[in-house]
Amino acid sequence: MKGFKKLVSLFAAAALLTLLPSAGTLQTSAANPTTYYLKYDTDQGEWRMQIGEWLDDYEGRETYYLNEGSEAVKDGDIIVILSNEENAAGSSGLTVNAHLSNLTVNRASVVISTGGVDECHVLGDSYAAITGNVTNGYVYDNAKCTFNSNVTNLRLVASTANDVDTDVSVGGTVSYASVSNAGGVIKEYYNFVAGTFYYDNASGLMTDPSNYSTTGNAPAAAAQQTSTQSSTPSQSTPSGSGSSGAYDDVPKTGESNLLFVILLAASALSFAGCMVLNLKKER
Amino acid sequence: MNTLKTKFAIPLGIAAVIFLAAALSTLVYDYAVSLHDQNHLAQLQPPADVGETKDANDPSQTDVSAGDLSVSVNEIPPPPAHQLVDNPYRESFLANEDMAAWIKIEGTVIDYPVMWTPRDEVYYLYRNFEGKEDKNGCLILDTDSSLDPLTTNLIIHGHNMRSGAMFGSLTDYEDEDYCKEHNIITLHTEEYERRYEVIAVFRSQVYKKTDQVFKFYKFFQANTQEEFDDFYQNIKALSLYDTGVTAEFGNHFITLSTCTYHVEQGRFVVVAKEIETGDWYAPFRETQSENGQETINEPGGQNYERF
Repeated sequence: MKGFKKLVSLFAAAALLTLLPSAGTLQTSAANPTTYYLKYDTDQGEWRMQIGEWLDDYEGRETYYLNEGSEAVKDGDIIVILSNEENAAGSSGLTVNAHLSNLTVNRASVVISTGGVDECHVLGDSYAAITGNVTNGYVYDNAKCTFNSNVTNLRLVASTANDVDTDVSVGGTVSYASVSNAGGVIKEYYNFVAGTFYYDNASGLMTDPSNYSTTGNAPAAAAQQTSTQSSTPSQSTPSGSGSSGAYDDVPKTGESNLLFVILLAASALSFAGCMVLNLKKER
Repeated sequence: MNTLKTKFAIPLGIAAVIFLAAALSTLVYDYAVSLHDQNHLAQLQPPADVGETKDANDPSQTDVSAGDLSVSVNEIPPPPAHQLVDNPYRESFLANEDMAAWIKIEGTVIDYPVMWTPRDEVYYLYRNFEGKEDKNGCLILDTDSSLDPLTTNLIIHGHNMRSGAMFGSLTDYEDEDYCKEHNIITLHTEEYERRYEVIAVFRSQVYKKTDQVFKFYKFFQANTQEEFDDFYQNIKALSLYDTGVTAEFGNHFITLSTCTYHVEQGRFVVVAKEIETGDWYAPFRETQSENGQETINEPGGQNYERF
């Protein structure tokens, strides 16, 4: 009888846990993105990092923690490169293995290698060399930037009504590029051959016209999913957040496994608990 | 202490078995429900004796000429022999006016009504043909697609059910041999039997609104050669294998799409090109007679509820 009561109690506890707010759902999405702030310390001649915010009174940690340990950058995290007094980057570059949701270079100089970037903003007065495929790249005002890999959408933006004053080159392909100022988009280009995109602050686009298109045709030889020009690429503003937009509205046609997963997890936990108790008993 | 551990260990072990049994039961239950819903749909299948040929020139057999019919359909010339047949799915069309077509692929379980509800695209995503809650739901024609006027591409979405129902077997098209054996897709609309041949099979995904990539689910109409080329080149480049089927500007397509899990928001896609029009169906909707009264052409002698 006692055993039966305990069994009933156990099920009651399991039911209670299931009914508790948020206990009935399994979160499979990644954790919230973490923001890493990086600044070059000219006194020590090396980069330092802080997580969540930059505190001038705190020296920060060495940047090898970007790829090691519990605080390592994971896919979807955000990196903000901050300026130092001299706007100096030193001779050492940064390497981040993860795919970033956002990389912002804020009036700083940096050479950085990444696993890819969803949203990349290079603000005015910055000098940047970025390795890793970029989905949406924004270069503002008088920033100088070299993208060593592919850029899907590249936007050169002047925040005033003046001409765009950036210097930008791309080592890979560019599916779409636009030049705009405060008055709106001035020019649009499509499908640059790898290694041919070069925009000069004085002369404008320097790419030979044979290496890009002014119409929206996707390249026939593209093996990857190439850009369509049926819709104008949407503009976005520089931001420290990792949001790169919601998904298109398409009917969801998957079959839910939630109840099965919950019950299976409960079974696994119970089994694990049983095994642990048995092992302790044997000892 | 050991006694206490023993007392907890046994109930935990029993709980593990019970939870596991419950988990497996949900799978079996879902499968059974899915099959039941599937069998329920079989009642909508046309009886064997429908599909008799009618001569459109004989007013005793049909009261609307083929010439009248051609007004509502794009780019298909009137049939040379003016042969109209009874629509094998006319009872289903009359039973639910949300039904846009019936899709069938010989040799597969894909043999379903296709619903089109511009007021709410996903209305039938978790409802059956009668509008009742149903895990399988119905196949739905994307509301940006249209049969009249016919858009270049008709996109049909369906659930990827473990039981194989709806588009649960669509991923079988990953196998090139399977594709060769089931390469013809038939779409029975109110007016025609449209036939399509598979031209591309690929995995894709739903992208973010800001992503500037090829989005198969955004292509409905090609008004220019460039728009057509963009779609055609992308689906051919993405195709898992070469089907040997080509297309040109002016062709029409049907796209079957279902969820897969190779990436977040993954989709498995089969695109087919329209190759020919099969049977022409005799009209059966209400028509205005000379005295202004509405009549229904032989609905089959049953009372039908409209949803």
